[in-house]
Amino acid sequence: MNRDRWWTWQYRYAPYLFVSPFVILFLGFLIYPLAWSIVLSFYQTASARGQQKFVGLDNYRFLLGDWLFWGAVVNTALYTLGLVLVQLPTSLGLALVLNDRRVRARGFFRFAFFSTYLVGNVFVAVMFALILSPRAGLMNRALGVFVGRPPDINWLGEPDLAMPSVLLASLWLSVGYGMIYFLAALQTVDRELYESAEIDGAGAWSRFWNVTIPGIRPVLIFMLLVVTIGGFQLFELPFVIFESSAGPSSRALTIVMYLWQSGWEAGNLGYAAAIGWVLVLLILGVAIVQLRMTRAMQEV
Amino acid sequence: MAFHLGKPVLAMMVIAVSSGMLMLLMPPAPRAEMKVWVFADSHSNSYRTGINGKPSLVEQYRQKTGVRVEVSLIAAKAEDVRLMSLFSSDSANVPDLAEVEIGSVGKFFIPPVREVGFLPLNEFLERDGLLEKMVPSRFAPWSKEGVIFGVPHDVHPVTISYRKDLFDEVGVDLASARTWDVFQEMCLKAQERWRRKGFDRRYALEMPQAKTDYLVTMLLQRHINLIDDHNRVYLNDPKVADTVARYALMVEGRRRIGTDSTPGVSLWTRDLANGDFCACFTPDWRSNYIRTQEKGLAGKVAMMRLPVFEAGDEPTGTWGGTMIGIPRRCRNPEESWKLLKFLYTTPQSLEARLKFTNIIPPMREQWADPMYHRADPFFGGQKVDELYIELADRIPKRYVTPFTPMAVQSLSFALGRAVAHVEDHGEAGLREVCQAYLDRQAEDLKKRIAFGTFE
Repeated sequence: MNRDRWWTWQYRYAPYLFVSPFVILFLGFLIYPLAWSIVLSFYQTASARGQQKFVGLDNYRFLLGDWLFWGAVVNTALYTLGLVLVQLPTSLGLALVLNDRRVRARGFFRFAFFSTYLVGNVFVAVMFALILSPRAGLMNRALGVFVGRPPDINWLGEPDLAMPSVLLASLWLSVGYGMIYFLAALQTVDRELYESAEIDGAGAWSRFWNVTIPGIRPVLIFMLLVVTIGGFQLFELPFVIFESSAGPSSRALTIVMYLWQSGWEAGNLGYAAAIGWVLVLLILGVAIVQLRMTRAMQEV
Repeated sequence: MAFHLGKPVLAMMVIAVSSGMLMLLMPPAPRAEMKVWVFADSHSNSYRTGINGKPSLVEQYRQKTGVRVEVSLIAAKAEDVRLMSLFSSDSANVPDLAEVEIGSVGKFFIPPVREVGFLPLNEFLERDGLLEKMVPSRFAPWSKEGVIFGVPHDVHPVTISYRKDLFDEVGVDLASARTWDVFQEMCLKAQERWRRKGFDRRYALEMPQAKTDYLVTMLLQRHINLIDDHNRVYLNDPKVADTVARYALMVEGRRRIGTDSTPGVSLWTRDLANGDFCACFTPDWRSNYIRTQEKGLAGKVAMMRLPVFEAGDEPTGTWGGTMIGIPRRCRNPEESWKLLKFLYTTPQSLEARLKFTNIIPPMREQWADPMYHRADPFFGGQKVDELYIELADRIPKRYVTPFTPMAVQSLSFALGRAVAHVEDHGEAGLREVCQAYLDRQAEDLKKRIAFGTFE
């Protein structure tokens, strides 16, 4: 190979060579497992080599009639709804307050609110298991300040309080995270728009709806999607809070927890793969509906 | 001197090269010839820590055989996943021995017997006469279709430990209760007297409203497994409905005697020390938590048999359990078996086990050893290990199948329903509600078993 041909060859193939490590890892560790999980969802497995039985659509058929799965879907959806309805406004509210130049020590408060996110799910779950424990739990003691003596609320033992308890822990963890995104978005809104609106006689509420919200709309939509997807993938918090059980009357059972139970506790990886793919479709469906709704709102 | 890619890249390269060289030059750690995976800290300590000036068990084994053994402590769930992955991939990179917890062993028995990832041990056990020497009922959880895949580490008979000082204070002799009805009456009487003294949130017994460990133990007392070794379902046996109803009446309503403990591995001992509840179920492993974590309770606690529901019930159940198994693809099954026997059946191993875990071994002949018959000053001079040994031979058979976790989940639904019923309607119609609900759950469970059976 002469020098010119060598350079031509390099020029043509060097880019492929450079991206090949990523492509190989991407194919090996993402695409292959993903494709294999689709195949697996048509099999029944028995956690032993060669022990796979093709069952066609049976896993999906059973899943559609599996009331435990639908219970998990309802639990997860309620949690996600709660998270979207509480986390987004709270994060935005905090961001608005901490974006105001009149607030002193803004840097400290921004860090303080964001710092909860740094400690991670498992730590927060362990902490909330103690905070919500009967008798000595901080939550009951704090409520006791208002009602005279600590109430005997069994936060982690009452079925109706199982998911709200998880939601509480999740909010503590993630409100600061959302706040950081909204802060960044608020700082990109042109201040002149606020001044013009003020000159035109717009009040605070009107400025919020007509200047702030349109200004941060892309981040708002992004947050809505991220929080929704995160909500549907809930696993660590209830898993640790309820000591790897599904909580009282399985009211803290989420879709991913059910996937875990089916795959690693019942040992049926094929059924777990089917649950995983139904979850993907669910998230995709919800995300598409959300995007369409926000686009429609934009057009109005 | 200039480096054309810049100083940061140069620094990174220097660090990479020097650390790589360092790793190459470091002498490799001596490789263990045998590997044992365990999930419990106390088990690991009993193998790795010497007692009474003697070397640890693994060191003793090295001195005796020249074989270096490495004991790896792995979180139970991580160990499960790793074992399942290794078995599924038919990898030879398996440990020589692995301990597995009773709650997770079922899933390893999904494949047909010839494909289970653990080695059948019947021949080994027969050859060395261990089948006769161990409590026979204790092989049940570790077997499939008569094939034994694990040697039991324990028996775990269950007793009740109670705050004798607090019950004495109100004139209640709890140990005299022989039936659950009488036990509940006595607890109510004690609670009433504690209320008069101002302890209005003190309950007699630790008894979770939503968890089922106690309930399963009570069912075992009545010889009921929710599923047997042939996957027959007994979830809707009338005795299950009766037990669920009685349990619900103990944790909710006007005759409530139970309360939840603080969540966490061993925070419940603090609740006992605080007198938030004054009695709790104590399999042998659990009694050790009280002893080691609440030294202030020395002399204030006592132990009693479980009350029974009716004649024919056992005054004990069993809670928890561990087996040790040999992975089928291990390097040398004979060597693994030799090590297994050393860790599970020799006198020095049992001494270490008692010291670190207070666990009674399943080997009957060793129960005569004086170390199990000493008066225990912590329990006011009571010979608690002797009590465990008396009960050990009476523990009912407990089966574990791949579907047992599902059955327990169904039981927890039924318990939740029963508690809600007591809250809203009291005792009226409770048993009928439990029975009807369990009937539906049993049908659902049968469908799941039919769907998940792999043969």
